[in-house]
Amino acid sequence: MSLPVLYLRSRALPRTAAALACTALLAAWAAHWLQAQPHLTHGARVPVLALAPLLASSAIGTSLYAAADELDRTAVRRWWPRRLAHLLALTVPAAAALALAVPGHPEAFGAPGMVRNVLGATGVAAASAALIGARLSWLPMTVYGGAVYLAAPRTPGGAASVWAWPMQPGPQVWAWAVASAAFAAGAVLYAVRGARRERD
Amino acid sequence: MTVTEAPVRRKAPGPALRTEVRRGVGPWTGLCTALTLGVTMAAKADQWQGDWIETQSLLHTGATLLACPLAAAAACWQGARDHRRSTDELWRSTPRARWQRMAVAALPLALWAVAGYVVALAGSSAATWPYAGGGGPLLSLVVVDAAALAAMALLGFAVGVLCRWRLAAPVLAVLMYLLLGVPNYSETSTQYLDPAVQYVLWDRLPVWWFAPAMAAWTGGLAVAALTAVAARRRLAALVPLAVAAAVAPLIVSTGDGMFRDDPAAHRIACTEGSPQICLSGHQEHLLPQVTEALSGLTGRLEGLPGAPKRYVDRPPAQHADEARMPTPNVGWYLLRGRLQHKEDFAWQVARQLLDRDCPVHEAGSRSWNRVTGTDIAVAGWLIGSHTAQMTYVPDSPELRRLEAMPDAGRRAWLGRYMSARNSCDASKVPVL
Repeated sequence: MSLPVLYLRSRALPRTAAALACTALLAAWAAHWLQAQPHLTHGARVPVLALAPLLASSAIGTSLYAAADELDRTAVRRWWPRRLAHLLALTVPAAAALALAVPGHPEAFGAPGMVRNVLGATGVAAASAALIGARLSWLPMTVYGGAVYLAAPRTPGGAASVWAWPMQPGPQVWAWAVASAAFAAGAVLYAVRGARRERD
Repeated sequence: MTVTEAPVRRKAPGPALRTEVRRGVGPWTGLCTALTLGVTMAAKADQWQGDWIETQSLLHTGATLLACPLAAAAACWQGARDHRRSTDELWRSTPRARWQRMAVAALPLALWAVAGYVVALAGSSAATWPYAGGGGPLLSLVVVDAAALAAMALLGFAVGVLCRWRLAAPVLAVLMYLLLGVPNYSETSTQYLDPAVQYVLWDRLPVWWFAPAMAAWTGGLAVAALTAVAARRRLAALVPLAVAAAVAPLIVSTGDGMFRDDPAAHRIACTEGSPQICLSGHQEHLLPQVTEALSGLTGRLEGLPGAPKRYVDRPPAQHADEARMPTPNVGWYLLRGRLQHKEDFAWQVARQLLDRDCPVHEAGSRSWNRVTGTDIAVAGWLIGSHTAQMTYVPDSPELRRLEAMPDAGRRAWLGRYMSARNSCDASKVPVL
């Protein structure tokens, strides 16, 4: 078996890709169902924009687990390009698929907001994998997402676009800045350090 | 001589439970629960601080929709611990019963989740109490929320034992959110089985058996799941399942009937003297502030025939001697026990006072436009403040004419006007 195939299998990437595809399908169905409800508008897609990126980032974060971490670190080749490629190869299709799940009305929890949330959440998950381990990398974003879910003010923009960036409808610049910074920081941290070795 | 050994007494799980409570993911679960609820409550403090119902409603939403999935996910992680550590076989070699091991590992999660909720409840109650004018949180809702949190933790643990997928915990969190959140979109009586449903408690109280029934329902399901996973005799799971199954029809069939009228909310408390300002028993402590906010309006109407003798924050609005005023709710008129937007409050009272509630076919006619212009001008004059008038009645010739009248003439005109303030006959409304 070739090395890339072995790598894909060692990281359970086929299963992760399947989980991401299921997430996108579920998000598309949920967004459609919510908009079909009487008295609800496109803004009702907010749970989809909060939960689908959380699920996608959890799948990506847990896929960063290395079962034989010590063995990996003995390799002659540098790991950071592979780690970065691994992260991007999952994040980009996930963001694209989830963006397609919320078509129309980009200003009201549509595709731009979805892409931003996938990037931000994946960045937090990647950083968590580097700092606390890949298997528990879903926890920080879950806690953060839960904390800002009801706390975010109804009026978008202002300081909330920084501290509650996942709950902004779409075009808020500061929300994009924070999410992009989170993704960049998480990607760099993971690419350089790899996932933290776990004891249990 | 036959020596018989005394039966070995099994140690109580006390020390093991204490160790589990202090270590592992349990304390983090409590911290995350308190943090999630604390951030939610702190960010929306303007919308609940000073009102027990609003305080507990938001806390209930946060605890059931956010903290329950979180507790379930954390417990799911804990449930898969032995699998991650590959210590399953090692544990099987110990004399401790499987259910005992499972209970000792699962209970701390439930306890910590409830502890996090109690911390958030204590903080929110301490923040509301100084401005609420008495009262306290509803104990039955606290019990329902705490039982739901504990139940979700036990259910999550059972899922963790069974499902060894790496993604099981976050997937369970999302599924729990959907399971708990989606029934809020429906309006059937089965939604009352959902502990996350939003209860309307503004003027209602839960019946006495509401909390035990909900706790039996959620707890029964959770204990049944844990028993099925942990007990040697798995059929024992049928007992808690039967309890849950027995309670569920009661909850569904009663539905909205699980809430009765709140006597304090339906009691009207009024000020002495004339006119009377009346609020519900829950807001009795606000009467001085509301009276002061309406002093300008009531002062200008003093002694006029047709002026209301009572201002009440509920229907019937069109009683000859009564006028309706808005309820001073937290989030707009009330901020930490202080009445704000007083000019808007007085404006709303003035508009309600002159509300004619006439058939639609009258609207648009020339005579009716005159009546509408007169009503708005009088409402603007009643609220008094020039800045408020500029906001609500900009550029009104009727208002200028009313202000230009001599006092005696204006009182005479207002007397005639107030006698016809709710009339749908335009000819009865005096020309301004």
